[in-house]
Amino acid sequence: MNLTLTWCWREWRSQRAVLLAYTLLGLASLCLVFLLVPETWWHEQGKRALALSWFFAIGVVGVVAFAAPALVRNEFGSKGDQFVRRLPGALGPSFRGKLLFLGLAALALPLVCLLAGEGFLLAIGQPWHDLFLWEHNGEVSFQWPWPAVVVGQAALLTTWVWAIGTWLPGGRMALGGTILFGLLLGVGVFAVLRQSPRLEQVIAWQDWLWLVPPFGLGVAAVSWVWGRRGGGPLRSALRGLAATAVGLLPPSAWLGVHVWDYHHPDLQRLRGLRVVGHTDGANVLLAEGAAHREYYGVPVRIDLRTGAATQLGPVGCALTPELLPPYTTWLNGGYRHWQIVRLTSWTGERLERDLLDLATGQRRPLAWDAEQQVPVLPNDVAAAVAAEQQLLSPLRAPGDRRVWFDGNDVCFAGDAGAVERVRWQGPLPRLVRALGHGFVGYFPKGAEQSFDLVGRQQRTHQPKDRWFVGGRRVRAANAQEDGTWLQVVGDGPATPIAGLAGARVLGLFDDDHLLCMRRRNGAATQLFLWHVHDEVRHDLALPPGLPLGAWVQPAYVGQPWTSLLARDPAGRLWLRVHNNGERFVLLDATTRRLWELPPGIKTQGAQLFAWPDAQTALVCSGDVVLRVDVATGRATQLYPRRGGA
Amino acid sequence: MNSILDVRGLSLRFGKQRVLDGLDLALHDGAVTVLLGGNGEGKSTLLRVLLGVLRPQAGTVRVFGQDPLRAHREVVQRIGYVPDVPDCPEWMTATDLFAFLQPQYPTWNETLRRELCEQLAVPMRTKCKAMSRGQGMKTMLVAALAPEPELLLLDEPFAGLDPLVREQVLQGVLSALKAGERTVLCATHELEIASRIADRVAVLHGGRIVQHGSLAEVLGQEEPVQVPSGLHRVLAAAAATTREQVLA
Repeated sequence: MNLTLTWCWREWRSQRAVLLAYTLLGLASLCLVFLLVPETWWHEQGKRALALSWFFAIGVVGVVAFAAPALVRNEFGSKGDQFVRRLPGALGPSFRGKLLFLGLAALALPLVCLLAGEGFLLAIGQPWHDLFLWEHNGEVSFQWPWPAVVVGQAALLTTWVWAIGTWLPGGRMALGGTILFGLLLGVGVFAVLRQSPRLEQVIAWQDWLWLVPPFGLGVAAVSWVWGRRGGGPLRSALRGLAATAVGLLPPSAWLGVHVWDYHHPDLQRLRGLRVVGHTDGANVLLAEGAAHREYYGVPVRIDLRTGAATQLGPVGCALTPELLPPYTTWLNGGYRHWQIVRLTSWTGERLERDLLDLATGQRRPLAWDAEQQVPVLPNDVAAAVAAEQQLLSPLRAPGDRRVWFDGNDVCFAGDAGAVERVRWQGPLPRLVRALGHGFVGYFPKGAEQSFDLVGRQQRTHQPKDRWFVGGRRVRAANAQEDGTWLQVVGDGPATPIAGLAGARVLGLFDDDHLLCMRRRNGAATQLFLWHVHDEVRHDLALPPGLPLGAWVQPAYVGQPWTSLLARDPAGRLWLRVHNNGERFVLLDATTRRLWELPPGIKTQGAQLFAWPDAQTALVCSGDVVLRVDVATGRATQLYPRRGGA
Repeated sequence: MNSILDVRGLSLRFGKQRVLDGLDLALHDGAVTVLLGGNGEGKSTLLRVLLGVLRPQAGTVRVFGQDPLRAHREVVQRIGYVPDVPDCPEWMTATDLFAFLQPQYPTWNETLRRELCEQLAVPMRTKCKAMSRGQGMKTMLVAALAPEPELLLLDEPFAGLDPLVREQVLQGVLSALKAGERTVLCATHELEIASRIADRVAVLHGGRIVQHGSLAEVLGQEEPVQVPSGLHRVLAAAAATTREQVLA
């Protein structure tokens, strides 16, 4: 202890001049700045606390930027640091003495500066007790003095400034070296986190911050006491870096476990499960899920018959059934063939594609025609894909006639397998989206063109056209679709639809009716069918007990892509009703009766993605896939099969 | 005689420059050995290895039978060291320096320290950076002698001093030698002074000790070809004034 005090005294003697000069200069400058700011500044809430925190920050900066670097730099004289190294066993006591000095400086300097700030405030007639501010608005909220908080966090690096100072010749540039070292480590951590987006939101990395100062102290001890014994900065750096590497092992392993878990989640404990597609009959699912809800998902193939799951690729894959342009496909459309696109470079410039047969799970590389910007299908599957996309097309003309693209032709399914073709004029769109009895085609560079499936002709697309119904266009008056609707017949003028005022259109119910909803806060929601040609409204009675002001929307996840509102095999339309809770309501298309699905499934955020038969529906709810019995509401968990979720 | 210092096969290089190359040296109780060698031959480096300041790449170093790197405190507490340039912090005064060093050495003799300061007229309140070279060397000499070390390492203590101060420092060294059985290793290239204090002479050249023995033995040997020409002649002339005469 005697030697420790001796070295502490020596450190004080060697640093006192600089520390005193810095402190006086800093405080004087700060006082001058605060004297020059306008008087009104002081009367604003929180400013006095801010002023005091600046005084505090001056003290902390003194410790980090002056006291810590000088611990090593001041040992160097005409013969380098020979003096401290030639004294009997001096490295240990000198380290302890310096540590004592640094600890005292870290306590004293900020407090002295804070005291000076308090004195300054008193001297200019301001209250002295506003360092910490709080407000009471039913709850107490604490206002952090952010300059003090920021430099306080920087103070975590104090011991690292000391450690890295021992690694540098003459102990110079310790602060810059620490910043550089921190940046280097930061780049490594950033690179890991960049590959694992949102990982930092889940892992409790803040807890590790408290270990930064003791870790730095340990490295400083190794670098100084061990590294300087018979060696110079290089030996200190090597020993210090070795100690750093050893010290970084636990957090690296901890981070590595989380990263591994991120990219290779337990497939029977997936969170945030989202079904993207399924085979016909929905025996096999294509889904995305992750180890944590905040994470980006990995693609997974799930066999609902066995509960077995297989990871299909890394995080960040794009899954799409778009294989033959123009793309009329949509997610959850029951497609067997899928394209898995994954990035293979950090910049996202390079993509690799696989063709997935969802039914069998087989994957193979998929070539890409860079000139045409289309995938090149293998010969043995091209016909199957074309047939599949024809069969599962979401486009419907009146009479439930299926519509699809075949080359440059828009094809209409006729009676007895007949096909009627209409030549598409001009270049083909890349993407097609149904708008009732019509669709809009999207071209590269943002061009759009629509097609009326009743008149079977191309039209210049108006962005506000929302629905094609029996040859008419129902147009939103503004982009918000807030309840003012117009209709356009042929090339005539747009006329208001009074019956739809204040309503939201949910979709084309059948060939002539739009399903609409009108809601107001505190009032019962109205659900009705609107006959576009006759302008007749048919009210639908929502089941009793629904909350006031409830929102109603189609429950089927693939709805936005289909011409008609999708129904289950029994012809029922599934609606999601939500406001302070959520439930499924079924609408019988024939009787137009609505009833609530019996309780039994968790509907909050549930994803209704398939109806295998008239009696059951498949729902992805939370982290599980359920088969729901429509009659009883009884739910059976199909995935995961063990109690992971 | 007991071996105070035993160095075998010592090699050390700075980067690509090999400074010590398989050096062997043994010192015995009570002997004053002058380490002769030209500039850059590695005299200071050898002394810094003995102090545990530098780590050799090869060879073994035993001081009082111990490795100065492993048993640094035990070894260095028994060594007094005068560097070629004062190496204490510039802000220190002699008072600060002695107050700082006293707890480091259990054998520190404060009375001796006062006597030496008085004898050598050490400026007590002058900061090291403000001291002349002579004042600085006298301060370092006192700091080295006050713990009454068993082994005294002197690194060019007389270089660059004016004649008056040089004589003062020399007297200080000689009085320390009179005080008891103290082993001394003095690195210098000043042959005259070497001849006045040396019991034994070791000649360092090319990273090795090329000649080692009493002054008479060294003078009786043939001058190695690699030793700077005329060494023997200068030594012989200087030996006209023997250490015994000086001490008397």
